[in-house]
Amino acid sequence: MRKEKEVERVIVEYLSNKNVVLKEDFTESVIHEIEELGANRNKGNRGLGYLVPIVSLAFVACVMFFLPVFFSQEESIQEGNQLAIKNASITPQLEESEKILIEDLMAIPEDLNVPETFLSEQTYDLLVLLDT
Amino acid sequence: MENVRNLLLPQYTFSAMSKNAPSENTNLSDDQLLMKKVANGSHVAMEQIISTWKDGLFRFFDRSLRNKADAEDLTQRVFIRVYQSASRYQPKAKFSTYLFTIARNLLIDQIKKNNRQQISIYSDELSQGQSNQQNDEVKEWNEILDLAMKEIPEYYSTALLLRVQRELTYQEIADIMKVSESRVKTWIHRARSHLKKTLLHFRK
Repeated sequence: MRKEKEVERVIVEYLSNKNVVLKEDFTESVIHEIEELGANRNKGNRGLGYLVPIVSLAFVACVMFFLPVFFSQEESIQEGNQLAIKNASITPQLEESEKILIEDLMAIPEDLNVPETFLSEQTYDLLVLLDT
Repeated sequence: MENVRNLLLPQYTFSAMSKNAPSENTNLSDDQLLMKKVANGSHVAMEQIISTWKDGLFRFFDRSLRNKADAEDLTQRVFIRVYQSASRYQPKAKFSTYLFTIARNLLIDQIKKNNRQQISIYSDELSQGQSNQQNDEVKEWNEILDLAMKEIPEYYSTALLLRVQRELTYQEIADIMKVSESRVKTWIHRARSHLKKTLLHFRK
């Protein structure tokens, strides 16, 4: 009985493991580790932050590159329009008689416009036969 | 024994949580309040949590793994995990339950890792030796008990250590280990009797 009690005491002492303690700087080292983790996390966030000016610079560069091209296109379109207007205004002044002639020429009658088809001789023969 | 209990669990004299609490912080324990501060980025609060729990965790891991280097590493990892998950921490249970649930998960991972690497923890421990202050007899008992602990499954030793070291109730241990209270009782009884038998056998 006494032996059993002693055994139990030994077991409890062993399990309690009260003699062991961590080294004194353990807390500081864990906090240091945690701070490093936090710093790495911030670095990661800062990494994204660094991307913002880079992306905006790239965007500005693109705009600077494409804007002149866009403006030159617009200018050329405007120039083209102006030329067309000029050309339209340059049309020669026609005499009244010439205008009438041109109008007559333009107003070709419908039937004249249809090309006449000439029948072959055999067809004429056939038509003659039918008539008789 | 009561003094030891107070020493081991100084801040868990009030742990009953109520969902209908009038004030949000009324029923929170010191550690739970500290966890709130940690969630807000307070390293001072984290330091307090570490100071309170480091030795308890280290003793638990040391007895479970019988390897001081691994025990220290796991203790550190528990606190890092606590810090990382502080923002998600919900004070539904006692802080010790939360802490030792993390500890046990890490312990299981470490045991698996050690099994894969085929490391003889016991021989490592023997080569390192115990404290010089211990006399030969105690040293011999500890070696025998180390062997006996190595022979029992992890869940036996974890349940027994939580009971003896932390003086947790069967229900609290059951919560940590996610099993029924009766199973915890069985495991503790079997673990205790195995250690006793082994020690008596060697001391004949």
